[in-house]
Amino acid sequence: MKAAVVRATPLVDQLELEDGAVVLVGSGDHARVLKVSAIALMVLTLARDGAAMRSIGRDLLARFGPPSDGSIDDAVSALVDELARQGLVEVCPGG
Amino acid sequence: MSEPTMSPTAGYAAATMSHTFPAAADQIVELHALGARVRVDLHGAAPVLVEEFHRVWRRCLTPLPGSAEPTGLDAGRIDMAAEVARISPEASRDVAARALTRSTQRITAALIAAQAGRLLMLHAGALCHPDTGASVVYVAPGGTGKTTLSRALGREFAYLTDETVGITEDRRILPYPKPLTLRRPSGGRAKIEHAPDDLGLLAPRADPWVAGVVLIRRDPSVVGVSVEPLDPGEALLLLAPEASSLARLERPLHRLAELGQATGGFRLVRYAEAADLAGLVGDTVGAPR
Repeated sequence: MKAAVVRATPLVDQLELEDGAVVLVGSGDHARVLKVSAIALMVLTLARDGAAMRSIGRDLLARFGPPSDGSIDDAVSALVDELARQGLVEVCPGG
Repeated sequence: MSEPTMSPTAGYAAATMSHTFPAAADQIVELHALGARVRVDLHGAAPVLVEEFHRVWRRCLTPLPGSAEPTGLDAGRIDMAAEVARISPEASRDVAARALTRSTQRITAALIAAQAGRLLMLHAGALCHPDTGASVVYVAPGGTGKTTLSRALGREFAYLTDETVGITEDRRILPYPKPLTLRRPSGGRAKIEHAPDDLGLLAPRADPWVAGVVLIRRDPSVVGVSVEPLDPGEALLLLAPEASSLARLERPLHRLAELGQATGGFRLVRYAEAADLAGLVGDTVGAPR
């Protein structure tokens, strides 16, 4: 079975802040500005050219340590789902 | 503040036939605003309507002395002929007023489209110190106080716009001193375009530049004026929805953030009445002599 691949939507611009970033995504009247956490920003960076969910989990674990609650896989999955809802990533399911 | 009175020509049906007919060339009106020029085709319009159009747009008929780019960018031509030609001199004042208001909306859209990707354009009003050009930009969604504030304080500070503030990379403002769209004194939903001169609003005598940017929120429960500094992230989230064609600019979030940084930071201002903001505007741009 192939792992799900996460691919970040190209950003128009991003401005890094102390606690994450503000990003601009989309174009024309559909452009939106969103604030993302430092962890979410790292996901967007890792997934810029596409990255496996597992690989993202490993990198987040190394950078931020284990989640305060639940498994790293569940935490990454919830975070990626939220980013997908916001139009910031696309998830290509594994086969 | 008392409601403005209608000019004699604003009473469209009441106009007499003794008007001087504008020359045919006057039916193509070239306007200069927001660093661009746009031609409005009024062919076929009754002379009184053409005259009224010239009157309310007088500040845009020639490049402003304060306009940083007097030659301007070509924003194209707006064809109002089909619409205005249908309006007879006997038409009601509301019909003529609605046509003028629609032309204002189309002019604004054309100017914004021409400057997309060039200027940082905020849905905002702006007033400046008449002699120094130091300006305060007040950002707010439509229908929430920009026109009222422009009108209330525009006799003390110079009026730049009540609709869209165009800002260059070096913080100059390209003015858009459009007519102010106000409800009729008699009430109701109908609105009328008013020339800034008719409302006694001052014109700038110097190139305007951004001295401060505030987001305004009218709140009748506020006593006096509440000023809250915004952190950069919060400010961008509030400002971005009030920017036109933001995504067309190079590094737009950085450009917005740099504007805030250069002007002492963005602030959220809550107030009950427009006149309450005179002190804040004066503190930002300097009190006029």
